[in-house]
Amino acid sequence: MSKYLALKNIHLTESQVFILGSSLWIGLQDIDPLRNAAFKDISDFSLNPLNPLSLEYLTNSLLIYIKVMYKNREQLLGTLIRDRNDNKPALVKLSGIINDKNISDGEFGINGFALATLDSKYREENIEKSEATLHIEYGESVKFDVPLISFLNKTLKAKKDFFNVRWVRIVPSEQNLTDKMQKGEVKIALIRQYYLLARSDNKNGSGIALLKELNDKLKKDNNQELLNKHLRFLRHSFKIQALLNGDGMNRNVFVKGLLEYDRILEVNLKSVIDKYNSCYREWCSASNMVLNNNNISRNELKDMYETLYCSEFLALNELHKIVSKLI
Amino acid sequence: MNESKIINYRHTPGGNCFSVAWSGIISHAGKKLSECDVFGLSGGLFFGFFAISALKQFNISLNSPNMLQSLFTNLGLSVKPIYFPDDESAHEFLINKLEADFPVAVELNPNFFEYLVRQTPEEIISDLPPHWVVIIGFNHQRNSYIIFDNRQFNEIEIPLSKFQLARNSGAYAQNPRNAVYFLNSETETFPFEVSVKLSLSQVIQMFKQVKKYAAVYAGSYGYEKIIRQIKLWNLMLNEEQLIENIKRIRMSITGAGGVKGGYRMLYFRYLEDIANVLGNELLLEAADCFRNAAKNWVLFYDYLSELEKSPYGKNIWGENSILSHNLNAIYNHELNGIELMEKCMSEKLVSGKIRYNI
Repeated sequence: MSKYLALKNIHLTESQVFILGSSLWIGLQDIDPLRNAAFKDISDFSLNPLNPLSLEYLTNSLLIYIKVMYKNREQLLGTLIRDRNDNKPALVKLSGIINDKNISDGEFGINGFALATLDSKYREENIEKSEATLHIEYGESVKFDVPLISFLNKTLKAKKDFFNVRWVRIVPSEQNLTDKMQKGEVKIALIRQYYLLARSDNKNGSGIALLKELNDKLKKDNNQELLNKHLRFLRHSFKIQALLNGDGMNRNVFVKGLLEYDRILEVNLKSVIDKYNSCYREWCSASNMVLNNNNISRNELKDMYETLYCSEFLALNELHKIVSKLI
Repeated sequence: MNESKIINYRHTPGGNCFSVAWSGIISHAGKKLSECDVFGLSGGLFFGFFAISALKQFNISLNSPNMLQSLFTNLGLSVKPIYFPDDESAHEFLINKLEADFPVAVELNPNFFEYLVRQTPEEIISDLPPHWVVIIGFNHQRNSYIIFDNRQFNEIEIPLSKFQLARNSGAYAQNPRNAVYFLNSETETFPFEVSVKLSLSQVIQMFKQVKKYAAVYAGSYGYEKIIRQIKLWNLMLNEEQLIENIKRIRMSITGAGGVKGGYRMLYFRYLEDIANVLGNELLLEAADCFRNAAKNWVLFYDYLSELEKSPYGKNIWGENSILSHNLNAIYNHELNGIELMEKCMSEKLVSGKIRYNI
């Protein structure tokens, strides 16, 4: 997003974009939303560390329009071709399933933004047989190619309230992001961020309710199959995060954003930065434990959930203190 | 089954189609919000001066272009746009929602509403934005949607074919492209005073900080620009262009005949309501400023109506231009209001006991 905005002359770092989009989050991401929900358990989900509405919050903070270009295959292709001819990548939201062997052995759900560039092999007349690929750039370190035709087919599979890819164009306002203006925007974004997290449920928000529920279920049910499902869910989640964002569930990005905005906010952010740094370390350690150990006991997993729960809880309390001063 | 229809939907007509539609939808979901509340919480108050000098086209914008997103983000509602690859899947979605007792607010191409077209001069019809309505039912026998329109008390029916065309046709800025913003039963919002504070911050920010918003000169910058420029229009434009631009501005002041006082009465009522709810006297003073601004917008509108008939009278243009003078008076009222709101924000907003909650 930061890179895309720079193409539109809005210069913000990745962490600043993260803060302005009120993006801090822990939620459950459905791995395959097209499958019937009635037959799903925890292993059909992964942890999503990005507010699903962060684009809406970001564009509202920055006062920029989003014009949705997507309607059908022709228009979708038209957007990609136009952007390629302008030597610009298109911004896409990947909110569904990407099956790509370069990143994962199987399908996995992701929720995030990427830049997509159509390669020069694309010819309009033979789209079904086209060997053209889309080059996807997801953050600085994750880049991969997806066959154009499989990408389009996945998009067209979209039904009802689910779709795989959303194409957005941003028309920037010509505002100059002065410190005073940014201060107002950051304040609004942090207030929204806190209240989004504070009213979280067991599926979306701060992760506190979710971690508590996971822990409670594990406590109640002394069943090996349940333990295995938890481990599959966690391995899946941490593997995606390790591949896409790093291990700390974006807590480090939030901390970096707070450090970058510390100067203009005029409130002491040290304690909240410390607490979210601690969350970052706990998530990294949890990821390390889950991905590098084949035999994890029920007690170890319960300890892990409890530690994560406590650190998220303490961090949210500190965020509350800051937001009380801002509001 | 002849009809899939929501029978307990309460429709309250009003001036601003967006605010009326979403007031109905959010109230139906259990959170009572009036048209004024929705307008205010969406940060609806705005001034923009739209100027393409090369084409001799000028206009003003008196409500925020970003109300939809602001409403959801200020209230903390999880509403995402849903896009459909074709008209059929959009229709299927709407029918499913109606059968599950969910009314749906949608935008329609404004050219399909006779009264909007009738009240708008032909040469500026393409300036009309999409029109919000609420779908409350579908008549399977007559194959038509049952909707509520903000300007009418009674429900109206639109045949499916016409409805689908209105949902997916028109000039770029008028075509809703079948997008649906669907509010599900999850209606937990931020605490009311937080939403209020967010909405006030946005309006202040847009008025005082933002200079240009897309192609529009915003807030105080926009006011200062039009006050300087409007007095010279007689030198920049020929008679035909002059009249066309006057018509365009008149249409914007009333939202094509829907509201009086350039939406300022809606904002006045919002501030008055929240001042009472939060027990904040200063907000009442701010509300008064917008009531005065509304009165002046009505006078300005009437003056423009006269001007449209005879655009070259004494003191209309030049250094002592009545147009500039009138706009300056409006600007001062609004600037006072914004500054009082800013003062409120530097204090604890909730100074008294909250009398009731929404």
